[in-house]
Amino acid sequence: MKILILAESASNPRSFPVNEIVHLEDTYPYQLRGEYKDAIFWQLSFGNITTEELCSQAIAYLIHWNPDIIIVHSGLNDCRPEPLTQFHKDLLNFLSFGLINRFSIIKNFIYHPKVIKKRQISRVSKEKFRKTLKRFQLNFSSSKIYWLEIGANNDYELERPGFHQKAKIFNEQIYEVYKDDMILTNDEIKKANGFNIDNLHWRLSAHKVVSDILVSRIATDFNIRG
Amino acid sequence: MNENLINDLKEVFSNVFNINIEEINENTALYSLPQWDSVKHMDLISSLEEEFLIEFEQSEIESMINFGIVHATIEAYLY
Repeated sequence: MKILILAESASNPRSFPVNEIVHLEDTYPYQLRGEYKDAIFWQLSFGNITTEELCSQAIAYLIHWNPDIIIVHSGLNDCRPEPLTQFHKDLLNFLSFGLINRFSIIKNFIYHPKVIKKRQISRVSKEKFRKTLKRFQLNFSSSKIYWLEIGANNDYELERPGFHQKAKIFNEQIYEVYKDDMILTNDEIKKANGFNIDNLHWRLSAHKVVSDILVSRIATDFNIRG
Repeated sequence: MNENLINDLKEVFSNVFNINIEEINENTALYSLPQWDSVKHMDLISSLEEEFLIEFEQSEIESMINFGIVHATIEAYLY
């Protein structure tokens, strides 16, 4: 069996904050490798990547590999409310000779929740996100694709006002394309107190929860046990 | 499979690469056709954008390396 995992930063090990370190062996992709020892795994995981960028990497380089199962964990970076478009961020950074990134006082002003609440810009529109979901499905039509729900802790709303409404809209797009192959995880992660102090990335308990959900689902769909 | 879309795509490929429509199939790929090099790739992209009135993302342009992927990408736009 061939399993491809495409994911954003929450799937990765983390060395910070120091009291919430997640080792590689704790991550759900690594736990899945332990469950399916005979399977061949390939994983692409990047921080702050959009779904379009992530899926394009897989389409360009892995389409002929024909994975049996693809687990996609992406969408948060597409929908998260931002104060500025990427173009404006780049332009501002260029015009300020990089001072914005060097002086947190300016950055804190730009990223102030009040500014974000007012601006409500997503890096990717709902329509473009949906197109990417469909494009990925069409390209990997012979693979079983599981798409993880977009989510964060309730308090993430304080930092990024409007996040949960955006996430709801983007999750609806996932459901419309992938139906029951959208894997709901957010409630279980919250129950396990799985979000770390940034309300976004995962503690080990979240990785365990997600690994268990995926193993259970794969067992049902493929009639195989880890 | 949308046959009309496939035929339209084959026509664009045929015009861009100056080959017969019969020579084009799902496996027609970058560099497997001698004519399909990086310059012709950009010709193909602009022809597709013009034909289907769409504008590709940079990452899509880089990933459209065979007829099958081009087909799936355009189909997603029309979905």
